Amino acid sequence: MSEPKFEIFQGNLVIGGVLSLIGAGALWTGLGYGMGSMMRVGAGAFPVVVSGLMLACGLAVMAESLWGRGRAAVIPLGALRAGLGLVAAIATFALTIQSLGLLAAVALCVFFVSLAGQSVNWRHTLALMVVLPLASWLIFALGLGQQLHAFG
Amino acid sequence: MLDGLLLGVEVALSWQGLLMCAIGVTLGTVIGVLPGIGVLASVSLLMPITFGYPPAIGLIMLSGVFYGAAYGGSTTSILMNLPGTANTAVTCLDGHPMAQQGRAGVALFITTIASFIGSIGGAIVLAVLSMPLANLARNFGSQEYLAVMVLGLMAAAAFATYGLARAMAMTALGILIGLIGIDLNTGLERYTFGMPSLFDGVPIVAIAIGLFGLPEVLANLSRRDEAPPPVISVTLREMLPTREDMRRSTPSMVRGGLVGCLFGILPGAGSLLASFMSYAVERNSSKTPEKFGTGMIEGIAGPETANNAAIQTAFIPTLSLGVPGDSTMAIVLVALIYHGIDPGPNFVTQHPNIFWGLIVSFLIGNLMLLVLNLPFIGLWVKMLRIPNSILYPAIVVFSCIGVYSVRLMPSDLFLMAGCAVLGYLMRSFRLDAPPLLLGFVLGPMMEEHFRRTLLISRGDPAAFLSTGLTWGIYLLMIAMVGWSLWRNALTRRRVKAQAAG
Repeated sequence: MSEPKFEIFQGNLVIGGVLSLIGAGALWTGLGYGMGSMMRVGAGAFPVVVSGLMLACGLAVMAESLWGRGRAAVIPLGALRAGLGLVAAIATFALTIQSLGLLAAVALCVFFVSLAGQSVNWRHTLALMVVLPLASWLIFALGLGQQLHAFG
Repeated sequence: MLDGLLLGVEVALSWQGLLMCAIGVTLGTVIGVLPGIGVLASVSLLMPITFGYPPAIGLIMLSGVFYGAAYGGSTTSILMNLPGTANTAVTCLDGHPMAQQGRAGVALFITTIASFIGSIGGAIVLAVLSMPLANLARNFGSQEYLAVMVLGLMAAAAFATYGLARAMAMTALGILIGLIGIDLNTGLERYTFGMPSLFDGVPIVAIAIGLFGLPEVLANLSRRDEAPPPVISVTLREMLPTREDMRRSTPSMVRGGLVGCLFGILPGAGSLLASFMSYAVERNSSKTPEKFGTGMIEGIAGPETANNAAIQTAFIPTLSLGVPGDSTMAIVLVALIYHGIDPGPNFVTQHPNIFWGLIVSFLIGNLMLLVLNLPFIGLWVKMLRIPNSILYPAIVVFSCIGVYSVRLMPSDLFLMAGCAVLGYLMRSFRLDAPPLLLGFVLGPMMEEHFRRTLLISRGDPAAFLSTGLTWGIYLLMIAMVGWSLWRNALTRRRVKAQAAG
């Protein structure tokens, strides 16, 4: 049975377009930083050279797809759940580490990573929500002396 | 040189040196054995932890992780047909068939010995070549440094997996990300979008973990739970190779070592390419090339030696020029800079304790790895049975703590999350991450040399090509890029021919 997935046909065309756009944006912004003179190179000169190169490469990738080398990019649908879970886990850690402290932040992080998987093993998750906060505190705060508070 | 070695012995054999070396290689083996924990991500996570130690000790530990992972990675390649690290992917080709034929023990023994020989050979080349190269580099002006960096970036892009144009675009993107922050020359903030957390630039730890560690976790989380590939078990008694095995693998190890040393020194090439090249060399020099892929011992002995030799010799340009040749060495360079050391031609003479301490620690660390990987192999095999539902949450938690503890800024974590998604999308669209990281580290240095070259020449752009040395470096670059393009075209034709026939 095949997994449900997104398929973006003409992956090269799309990604070449995205790269060109980033390059063009950086080029436009870089021009605003001032080119300076050949003697005293301004803050914009190097970024303009580099983003110009990026724009050219992005266009080259797009051109490849016209030559018949357009390959589809495939993203399994499961990646959506995994990505949301992972981002949620990291964001929760970021939002709670200072207010609630290390123990709660780690436990919440574990919870969301477990949800990100395609199936949840609750026994493992619960055990890990207890063990991992303590272990992290022992290793990083006590053992390595990092500035992390157990509770907010 | 003898004085240097004695000094190195003093540093590496101190109790702190020995302990940190042991911790480094053990962690490295663990990271190598477990598929899905990148070496690069792990080293950048560990980097902040070493700041509390003297630089020599910190570097001894970080490098231990690098070469330790190369040993551990081959174990997973052989027993599970999954590369534990990217560099040991080649070892799957003949290592796993050997395991299926009941010769897993022999394969593990040979890869360990090959890794040991490669590492020691590489360390000796490092000790011998660093000084002469540093002496040569003392004559370098800004234009030569710029040329060497361009060479490194172009070579890395040319040898990237998915094609030159997209790899160069990634390099450029990396350079641009490296420029984010306040420009030291003009005081102007660039590409910060007005966010104060970006004024000091983007922290490398968040980028490295986001791009190299977490996408692997994400990819594994998004897969349906299939039964993991079975782990083939192995006992100590099975490990002894026959005389025939030794006779066949010895010349392969010598050839692999030479290939490895060459590709390690060349900027942009690195250990991954070294192991692939060595495999090709072994197949071409074999009388029975068609048997490769079915458990040929030459196919693991050569690449494993090459891989480890390249890891050691990659330190040469990093330490004696201050220009890293690949993304992993870029992390080593950043670690040196964080420790307040300016790598470059004067590094060896100014910090002999670090240089020689590192070299002696390579010898000791590799001896430790022999012990870790031969008698204790059972331990690592057990570790392969840790379920994913425990492994992945732990990796994510350690990544979060590691990134947060560098600057205690929660915004860095959002950056890491963004990079993780970006890294995953980059894989789906077949974009290489290593050129991006290399560009990120080299970008600001290149801009500095770019400016200085023009300043010194009073604005004459001909200065970029003003010396014979710069011509030589750019010609080498053209040769390397041309060769890689030709090689790619050749492979494509072969694949097409196979598909047709």
